[in-house]
Amino acid sequence: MMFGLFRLLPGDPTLTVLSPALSPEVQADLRQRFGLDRPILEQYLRYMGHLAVGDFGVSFHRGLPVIQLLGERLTNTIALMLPALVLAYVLGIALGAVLAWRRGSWLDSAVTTGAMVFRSAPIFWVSIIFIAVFSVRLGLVPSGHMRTPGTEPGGVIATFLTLDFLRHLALPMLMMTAYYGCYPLLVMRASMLEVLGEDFIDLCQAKGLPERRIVFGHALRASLLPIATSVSLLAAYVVAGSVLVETVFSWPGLGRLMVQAVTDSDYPVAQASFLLIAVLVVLGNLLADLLYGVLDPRIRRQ
Amino acid sequence: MTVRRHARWRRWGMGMVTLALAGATVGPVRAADPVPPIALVTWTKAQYPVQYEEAFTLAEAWKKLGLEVKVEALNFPNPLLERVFKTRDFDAAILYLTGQLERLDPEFYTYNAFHSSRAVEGGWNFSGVQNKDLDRLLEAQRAEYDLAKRKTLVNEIQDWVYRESPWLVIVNQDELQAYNKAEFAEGVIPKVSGFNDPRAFFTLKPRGARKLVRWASPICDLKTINPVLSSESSQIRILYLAYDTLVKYGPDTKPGPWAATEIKAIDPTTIEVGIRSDLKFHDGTRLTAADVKFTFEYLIKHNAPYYKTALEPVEAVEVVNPTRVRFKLKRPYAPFTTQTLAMTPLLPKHVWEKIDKPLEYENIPAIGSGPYRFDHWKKGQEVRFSRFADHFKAPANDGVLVMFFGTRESAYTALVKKEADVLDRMLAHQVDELSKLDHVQVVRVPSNAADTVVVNMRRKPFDDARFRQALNLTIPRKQVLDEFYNGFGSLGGSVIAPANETWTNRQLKAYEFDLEKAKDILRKAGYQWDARGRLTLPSK
Repeated sequence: MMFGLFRLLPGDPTLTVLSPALSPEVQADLRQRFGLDRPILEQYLRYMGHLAVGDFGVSFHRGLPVIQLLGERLTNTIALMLPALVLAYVLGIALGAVLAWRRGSWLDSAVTTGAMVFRSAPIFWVSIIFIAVFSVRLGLVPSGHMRTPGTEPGGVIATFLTLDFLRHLALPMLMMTAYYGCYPLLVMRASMLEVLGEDFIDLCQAKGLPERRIVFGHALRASLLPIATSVSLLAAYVVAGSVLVETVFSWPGLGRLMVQAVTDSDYPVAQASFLLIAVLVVLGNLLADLLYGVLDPRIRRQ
Repeated sequence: MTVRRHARWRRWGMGMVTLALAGATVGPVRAADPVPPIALVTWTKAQYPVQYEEAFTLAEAWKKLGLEVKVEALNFPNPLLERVFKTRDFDAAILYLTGQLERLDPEFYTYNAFHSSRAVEGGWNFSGVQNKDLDRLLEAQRAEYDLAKRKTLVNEIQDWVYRESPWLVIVNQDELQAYNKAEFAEGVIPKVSGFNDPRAFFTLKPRGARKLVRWASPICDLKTINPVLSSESSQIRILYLAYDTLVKYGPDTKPGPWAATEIKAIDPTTIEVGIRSDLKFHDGTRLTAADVKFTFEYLIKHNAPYYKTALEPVEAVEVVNPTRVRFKLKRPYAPFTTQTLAMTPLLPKHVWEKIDKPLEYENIPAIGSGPYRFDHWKKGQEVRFSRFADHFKAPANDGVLVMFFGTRESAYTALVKKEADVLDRMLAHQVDELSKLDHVQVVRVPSNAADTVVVNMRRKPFDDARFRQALNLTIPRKQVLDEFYNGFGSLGGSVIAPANETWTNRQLKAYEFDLEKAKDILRKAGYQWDARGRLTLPSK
């Protein structure tokens, strides 16, 4: 599927190469080097054959194995996405539960409205506003990049376990946490409202349990199922988000590499990154299914 | 192959259209056919807002001639390049050619753009010019080593292009750049290309403690640091910080020896080049004639894409002595000294001779002999070079940090926030904002860049020179320059920009907007206007 998709897109990978005097002969050379002069079926079989042994090929324009390129970028993307998502879900769920309990309060209407507006706004626009306010106006954090430019490259420790990295992470992470937190918040609030109407809550109240125990101990767990469903869709959101957020924040992640690969018609890189997304979506579904079991014993027994 | 089949489909479709038109003209006597709507291809608003808006300005202007224009905005690089380079499926297209040093040699804007051999699929002869007399001129200038004689030929070619109007140059835009003057004192900013020329970086003098020049690069990412693989000018430009070439364009746009001491044509196909004796690679090894010979043979052998066309005329390279090489050419080729030698980076033989597959080589650390030495490359983020003290033109600063940004706006913000020292390829509207800042010096240099319309002479009525002249006369150049470029540039006249002082034909001034004259030309050529004011094709 993916193989065909990129080849159907208008565009010729040999044409993205613009040299001062690029001649048709050079394009013919490139076509041969990229293996694009062969019949499409042969190209496909080669691709599948290599894929079977874990070989994703060599990038047309970067001259390096795709797996190496993706590996470097994926780490950077995960370093941004993982903390943002964990925080988004933890905070979103907790706040959603509180709002449901305080339904109709001043806090509830303010936060719910805010979350709806925030979530409906385009993510790149929100990012630009964040940069304009926190970085340009207030000067609190850098406006982009993963580390201060010019610093020595180092291993994993020097890259990710430094104060410098955290300063650069702060703004995009805050933005993504707020952005991705809206969804679990709204879902949680709705689901919680439903659960709070059920008999066992009344029973808990009758037993004289403290409010906090009821909300976080009993109602919360029962309301988590719809949240688990959203986890399966998460991978797709994250990828879409990373493309935009990484561009705006100049973050050296997978999203930016993908955009470049697609505009350059760099088939090997584009194919592999989309394959990676497909794998992530499947894994997300698996995770959601497993979560159902953990959260709801009834599903487990069946 | 899908792509090819796709193209064939399209061509087949076009054939049907032509047939249908032909059918209409041989039918019973009827009113002359109106000129079909012009398909004007341009760039997307998100990527190139100026060219996008420009297309509508042109459409508006050509409407006054009774023409209907359909603007099609396409994404760069694809599918835009596929349309103009391969399928040639356009009537007119707005092209935006950046001013690169290698494009200063007339070869690019003449032979490359108008020789009939370049009209084939993938060639730069977008317009499809096929003219035997012109071909002869184009070939003659290529073979002429004498600068004055070559200039006469190049002038004649420019006359032809101006008159026949296959390209309608709109504006030669200035290069807009800026640097942090609070931190760096201006060195020698080359007159035409500014920071497009690595020389501008070599000469920036630090004022304070920070001696590293931080460059907010206009490209989003460096794809490779391997000069054999790299194939785009905007990318290779960064590599020239670390690699020397035998010839370099001087600040006055004239090519002169750089790593070479002298260049002598012994006969039209034998060129001898003396090489400086004080050249060293960054690993300490001396650079000798053997490296030069190796470089040329290696790039030819491995079909290095960027240099292939320029190296094609090279027959053989011989070492005369450690500081002298002799090039044998297949035929006289004047651009060899002004273009080929200026773009070929000198590679260390001892590194590359061990590499069998240079197109899959990472090349870290990149070892050249240039004024800057490669430090590190953090992919998607930055490349850092530091001063190479042993170079004959050792830089005045400690190094260059090339930073990549996701968007142009963030690169701009970096300069404003003093997080960057050099910014180039700026947009016109950014100039006013930056001029207000105390720490920023805006550099505005004329360039050999061109914002031009190319018309497709393979199609009717664009095959008619008078029709093209009428189009040329109705381009509101002044309006485009003032509105979209804030006046930063010059009105397009000759196909070789006035900034390219060595080669431009000074007699050729931009066509002034003249609707009446354009209509007059069309009328004399047999075109008419129907009752609805539409321009109609001349009846046979």
